[in-house]
Amino acid sequence: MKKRFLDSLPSDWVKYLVVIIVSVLLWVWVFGLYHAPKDSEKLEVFYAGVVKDYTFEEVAADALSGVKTVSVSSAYPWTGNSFEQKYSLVALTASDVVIVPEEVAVETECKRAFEPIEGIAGKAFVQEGVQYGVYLSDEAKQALGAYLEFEYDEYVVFAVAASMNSGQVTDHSFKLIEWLVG
Amino acid sequence: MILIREEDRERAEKRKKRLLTTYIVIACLFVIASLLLLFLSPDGYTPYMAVTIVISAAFGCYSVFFFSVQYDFAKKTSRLLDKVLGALSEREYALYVKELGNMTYDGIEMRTIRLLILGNERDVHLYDQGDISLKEGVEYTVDIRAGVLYEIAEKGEKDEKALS
Repeated sequence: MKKRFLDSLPSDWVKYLVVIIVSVLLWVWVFGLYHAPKDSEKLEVFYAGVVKDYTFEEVAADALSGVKTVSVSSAYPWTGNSFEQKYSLVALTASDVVIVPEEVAVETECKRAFEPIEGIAGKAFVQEGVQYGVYLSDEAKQALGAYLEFEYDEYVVFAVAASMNSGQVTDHSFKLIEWLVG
Repeated sequence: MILIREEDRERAEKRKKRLLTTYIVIACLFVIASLLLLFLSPDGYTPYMAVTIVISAAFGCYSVFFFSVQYDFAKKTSRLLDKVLGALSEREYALYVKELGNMTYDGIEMRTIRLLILGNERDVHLYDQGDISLKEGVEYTVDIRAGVLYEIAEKGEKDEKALS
């Protein structure tokens, strides 16, 4: 049988090679697909400012259990019209957590955009008698300063009402807020 | 001396079935192992994926070997024996001319000899290397079936009435 195998090699080696390559590609794809983060395991953060270092995404994902990826999108609040567009389209509809300067927060109709927050320590941002956000403390800003540039005095963190992670399926948005202000 | 027997065919058929059964069992084990590795893999799945790729490549190579060498040979052997044992018998006197070495016949590599039969040279194959030694110039009585030597005896050893 060994002789037959050796005799078959000159004509069959391509088959062996193809089988090995297909095995590698197939399983890399299958494992990637099987372990791809679900929507409830992904968090989108919108930051109204400049992101200095995107390793923030890895650090945040590692800090939260049940969350596989955190991604940050940003827009500059002083760019006028384009910021408003991105804020309403990306931040208030497609994101889970929003970090904006107080000036932007007070202009937002929080009742429609954000989920009320309860039980998170920190200075509360209240609108119409309901707490919707938490202010970032100086210590928090200092800790996050390595990743985010804070150009305004006060920043507020919100959990987006449209997000499944703001209490509908998971409470990952609140966990992230707790981690940010803590 | 009969060179091919009914038992050879039965043995070849059994071997074919046994090989196929073994392959199916290994295929099932491979599928179970791969799925277990996939479903039990944690978030840092690289080692699990590497093991799955290795066993998958090994099984794939075994499949290529199985279908293009091992099982293919068993299938061809079984088919050849079916053909030989079901063929019409040609009983003749033959003079051994020479050995031709190994030649492929119906996908099976067989020892091949040249015989002089009724004044014509004819190449005849010996199944399973036909463990016999033939002397040049000696006359034999042969039974050839489908180009394969089925039975051979030195002239005079057999009852000549049996020859057609």
